[in-house]
Amino acid sequence: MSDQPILLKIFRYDPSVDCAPTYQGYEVPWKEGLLLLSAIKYVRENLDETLAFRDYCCQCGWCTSCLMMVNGKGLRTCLKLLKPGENLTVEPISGFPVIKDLVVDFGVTLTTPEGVFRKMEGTLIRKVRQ
Amino acid sequence: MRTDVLVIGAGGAGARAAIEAAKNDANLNVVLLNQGPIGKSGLTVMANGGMQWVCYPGDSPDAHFKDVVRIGCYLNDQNLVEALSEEAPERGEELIRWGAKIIMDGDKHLLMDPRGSGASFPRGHLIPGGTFMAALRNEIERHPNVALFEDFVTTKFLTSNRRVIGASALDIRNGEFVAIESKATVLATGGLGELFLHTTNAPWGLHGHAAGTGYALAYHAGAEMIDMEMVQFTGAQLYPPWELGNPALLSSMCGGKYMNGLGQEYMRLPQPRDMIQKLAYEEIKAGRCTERGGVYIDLSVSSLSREEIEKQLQIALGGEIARDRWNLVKEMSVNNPDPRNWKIEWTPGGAHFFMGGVRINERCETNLEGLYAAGEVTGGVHGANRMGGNALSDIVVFGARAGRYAAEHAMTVDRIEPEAATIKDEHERLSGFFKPQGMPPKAIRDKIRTFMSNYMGVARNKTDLKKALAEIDSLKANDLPNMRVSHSRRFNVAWIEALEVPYMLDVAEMMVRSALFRTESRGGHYREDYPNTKRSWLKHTLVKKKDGTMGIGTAPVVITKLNPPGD
Repeated sequence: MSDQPILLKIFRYDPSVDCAPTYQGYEVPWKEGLLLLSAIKYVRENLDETLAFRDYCCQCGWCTSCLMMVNGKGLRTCLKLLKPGENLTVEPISGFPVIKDLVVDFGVTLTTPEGVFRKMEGTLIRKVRQ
Repeated sequence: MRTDVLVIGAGGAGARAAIEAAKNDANLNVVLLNQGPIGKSGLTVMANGGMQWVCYPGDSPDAHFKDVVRIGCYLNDQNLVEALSEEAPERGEELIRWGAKIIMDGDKHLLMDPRGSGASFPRGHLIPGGTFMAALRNEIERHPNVALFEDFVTTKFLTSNRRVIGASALDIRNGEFVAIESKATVLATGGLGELFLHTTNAPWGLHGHAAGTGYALAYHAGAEMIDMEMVQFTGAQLYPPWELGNPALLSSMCGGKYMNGLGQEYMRLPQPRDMIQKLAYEEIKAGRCTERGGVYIDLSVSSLSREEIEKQLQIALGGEIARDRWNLVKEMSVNNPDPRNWKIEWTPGGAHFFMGGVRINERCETNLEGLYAAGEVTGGVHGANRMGGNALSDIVVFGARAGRYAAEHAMTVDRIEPEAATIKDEHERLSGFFKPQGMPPKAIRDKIRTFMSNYMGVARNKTDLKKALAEIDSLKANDLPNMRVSHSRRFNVAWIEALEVPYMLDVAEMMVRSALFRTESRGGHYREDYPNTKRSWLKHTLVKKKDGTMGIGTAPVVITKLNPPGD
């Protein structure tokens, strides 16, 4: 019982071929110290190489590159410690255009300094009720 | 597309170069191109070590210079070290002015214990990487002549008669190719930790981008590559499962002891980083290792209290900006919460930094007209071993220099149109990775990491290095043609991984050939079959592409004011 796998339901969307998003389920083996971001990496490295997401780069929860919606709540997935048997729905972070799957265009508000020009484009975007 | 100055890589070196180039002249346009969003990718963000600059009473740039050259085993180009030690204070103060948050001790900067780096004075200023990059980003804001190209990967330099005239790149978001014509180009793509199984250059892939492709881009354009054997290794943590940081740093900050598997203290600080690795390697090789195959740091003997140790561990993770990460450590260690009870097990061989790279002069010029380089992608600054904290000084000192001289150059030259045929060939090459069947790029990347760690790690010898060459030949001949990428062109991480694979093999080959060539031990290069440092080897190994093949030779070390000791 103690090492039940993690069940992830992941948002999938490739705007170059899909009209609408779908959700795909994956089963990831649990181990001590497993973080949600590591579980998503496990999916890409072992189950489905087509899954796109942004990794962390700071190792301390600062860069917020790995922000995603987890069961409807915005989280830094690098800080989310998983318990055995957890069941999670993972979607791209709300409020930013989706580039593909869990990758968003962080756009003007988060990464780009004010007053700087930056190449960008957008596809799907979801606004959350405040 | 056309630009005056193209900067490739938006870590600390590239961002600083873009600022300097842009402020030179508002009429000059600068493209800052990066594999991910600025501040959310690259490895500067994860740096937490103290940035070295002179401030302590009695310390001087000359003392800093001497420390760097001594720890670099005299293989440094001293013209570069002079620039580093003299300009680091100005660059450091500037970062604080631009908004970088520095960890304070009362009203003074908290300076790291010099025993951790081997410096002769305390001069390690703790600027967490996140605020380091935030400061650079804030400053970029003041220069609207910089355009950010985020989620772009450079695949090749465009050249004309030994001059770099731009680069071919791939827009990761939509999979489209772009050719960027530039009058001057700054290469600031960072290091190559991903070539090894263990590395502090995490995460792997798109966001860490430490696959070393920048070295290959420069090599294929005809740049001179020096000291490609000089890898700085550090420890990779084996246990506990919550990651704490660099073992060398932890022990000096927390007052722990270095113990082998038999519970004997085998080493005391201060030690240069290469010795920390070598001594641990020898314990493990002699069988004096833990069950997990490592050595450990014992914090139970520390004279510090539990609270003080926790404070130090938190600083090692990044201080206040890493508060959430520290909370995660607490959450993970809930059943064993006292750090004095943690035996922090680690193994040597975690690739941390690469001292070799593109040969530059003090103006950051390479041997190719129009190509400038700064940061970890260059060689010569740190010699055979990098002193802790100097990577952060390096990236801003040489980033600023590269930006300045690249901008000056761009203002004096006309642009050259790249040949359409070259661009077309490159696009065909990149599209060629899409195949219905074959081996995924990750499988080949794992093979590269495995043979590099096995044969090109902390201790090297001729037999192992020859095996590494055979692996490279075999992967090039058998695996590379079978590599396949499927699916969409849009944000296809596997495609980016695939296009890096041939470059990773080229870089691995440069490294192994250089390691075979240097028949001595010096700094990060330890040859079991040539354990001594030789005066006759006080020179750079130099790799250069000649008629399509990899040529290897040597180049003199630049000595300005500190003569190396005799044998």
